[in-house]
Amino acid sequence: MAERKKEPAARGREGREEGEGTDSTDSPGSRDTHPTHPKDHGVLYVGIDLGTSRTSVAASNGVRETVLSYVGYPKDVVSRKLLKKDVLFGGEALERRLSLNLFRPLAKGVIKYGEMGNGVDVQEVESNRQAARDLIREAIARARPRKDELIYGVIGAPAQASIHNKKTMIDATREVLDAVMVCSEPFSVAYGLDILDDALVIDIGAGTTDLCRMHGTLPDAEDQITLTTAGDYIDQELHRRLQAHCRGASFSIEMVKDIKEKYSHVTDTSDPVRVELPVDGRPHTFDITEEVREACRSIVGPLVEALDKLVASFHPEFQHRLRNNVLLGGGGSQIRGLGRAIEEALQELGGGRVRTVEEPIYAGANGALKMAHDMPAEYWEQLR
Amino acid sequence: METAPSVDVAGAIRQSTQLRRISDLVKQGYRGVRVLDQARIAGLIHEAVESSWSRLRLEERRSVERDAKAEFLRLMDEHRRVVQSSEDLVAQREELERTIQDLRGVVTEEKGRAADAASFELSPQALAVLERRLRNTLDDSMAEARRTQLAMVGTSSIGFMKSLEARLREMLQGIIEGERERVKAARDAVHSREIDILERRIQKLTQGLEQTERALVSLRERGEEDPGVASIYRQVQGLSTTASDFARRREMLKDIFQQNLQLQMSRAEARDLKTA
Ligand SMILES: Nc1ncnc2c1ncn2[C@@H]1O[C@H](COP(=O)(O)OP(=O)(O)OP(=O)(O)O)[C@@H](O)[C@H]1O
Ligand SMILES: [Mg+2]
Repeated sequence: MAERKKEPAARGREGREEGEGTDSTDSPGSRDTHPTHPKDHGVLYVGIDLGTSRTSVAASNGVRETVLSYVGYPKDVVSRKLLKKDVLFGGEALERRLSLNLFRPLAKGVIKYGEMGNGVDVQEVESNRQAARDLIREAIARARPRKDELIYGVIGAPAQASIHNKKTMIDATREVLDAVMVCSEPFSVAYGLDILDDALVIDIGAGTTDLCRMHGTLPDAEDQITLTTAGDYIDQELHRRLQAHCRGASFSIEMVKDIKEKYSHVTDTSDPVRVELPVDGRPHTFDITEEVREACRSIVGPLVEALDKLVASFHPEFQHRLRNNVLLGGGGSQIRGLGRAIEEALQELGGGRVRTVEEPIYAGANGALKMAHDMPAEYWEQLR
Repeated sequence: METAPSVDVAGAIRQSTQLRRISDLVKQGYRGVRVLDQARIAGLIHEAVESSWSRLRLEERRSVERDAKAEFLRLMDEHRRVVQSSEDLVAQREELERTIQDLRGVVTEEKGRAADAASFELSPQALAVLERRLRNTLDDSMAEARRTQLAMVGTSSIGFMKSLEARLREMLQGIIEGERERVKAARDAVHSREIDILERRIQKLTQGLEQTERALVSLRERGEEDPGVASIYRQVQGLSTTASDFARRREMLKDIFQQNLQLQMSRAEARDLKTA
């Protein structure tokens, strides 16, 4: 069963469904009436999924927001005057990119150039780090926390984020969060879905595809594999193929990404994909069914290989359980027929079952939120 | 109480705050206002009191406390009034808009009436028509008179008739000119007096409206700060003991916590080293 599920309108918010909190029956609005008594200060949990392409946040006040991971600063005084802002985010930043210095601070899932001294311009490093800080702060602001509440946050960090990277993320939240923890992103996806053991979680993002083996304890390095064959990689593959196929046509990588998100599939049969691209300034229709399919398929091979590696190195008697409990998440999991394609490839390796998560965009943030909620009070106390 | 002046709570607060009416600020061209928040004010009071607390006798402490509290309440009141003034401004704007609307109606009416009066009393066109008609009538009656006179008194009367005609024409001319002047003057008067006054009032009110609007914008800019959405929790929750897989979850959470403790401890240690 690997068919893509439509994004559901509203799945119950994590934390809100839990009946265990002493005050969990309170309606969110009811607290607005007594903001002045310190005793009544609320506790707001936020879960953040910091991604290369989008950053999502889910909070215990019911707010869920997602913003494309772009940060832009006006190039000059004139632009600043016109834009009336010092910093722009997401789609708005992308739209105004001509008058902005635009950053996508989370390359390959970690803060760009997090490690200094690999010959990168110091200014460039600092700018990306600043952009990452601003992005995290913006994500939290979009959760609309109240000033009088304690805010405890969990950030889902890419599985391979370095210590240095994690520290940068923690630093970025200092002013806005009362306490913060980072955890591996694929783990937070699994935790949010109550999948704690004998499962393989695959998060296909923009910068990376993260595979994580769950077996009842916190996954460690051996349980995780990170591949760079993910969304951005497909974009580049498709771009390359379109350049060869659509002679004379001009298009940008952003256009290619749009095409991919609209028509992505790996199935043998699909409605023909026809797009209009300008050739010498005139629109021209191209059939690119094959190109889209092949570009999307380019990530399947490495993914199955990594999957096989994680299965093969697991206790022999439990391997079949892992294989039969593969979970696909992340934006890339929306490629039509991907689950089935992986199942087919697994057939040769002893079979398997692949499911797709219901909310690819919020799965990470939901899990982080749930973790924040479950974290005992004394842990939070020690991190304040 | 010779030591009382050494504790100047009001002064301390005044030093850190400025109380001004929004309307005054707007007049000075301020667009945004920064308001000291409650916690900061309380902190200032605390600071001011703490600094010389120990030097005071009991009754002095009481009086200081009283002063501080009074000052605090006054500040809170001021704060409330600033917030209130936002609502006042909205009401004020609506009132202004209504007045302007009314006045515009009056002006249109007045202008219409002025025009009506003019055309009733004689518009230039109407005057021309009247003039033409009078002339025609005069011509007709002259011709008629001439015929009868000729028949009655013979040709000797022709000279007299001619001079009479000239005098009548002259008189008519005078009447028409006079009427023309009168209508013009009346029209000018109506326009210059009532309409001008009304238009000036509208202009002034529009300025008032713009000012109110600016004040509202600046208040809104300041008030743009989202109060936020309250969490559904008042206390830290933690893993429920009835959660499925309780023990395993607890272990995992502990591991995550410990990793983070390490991450954030080494951070704190590094900072301590630096400052040491
Ligand atoms: N319908 C779709 N078909 C194929 N790919 C899609 C679709 N929708 C989104 N994507 C791709 O998914 C990727 C974004 O997924 P996601 O938001 O999970 O990434 P991310 O978390 O920001 O990245 P990372 O986890 O690598 O940091 C982008 O490459 C995007 O183009
Ligand atoms: Mg991701």
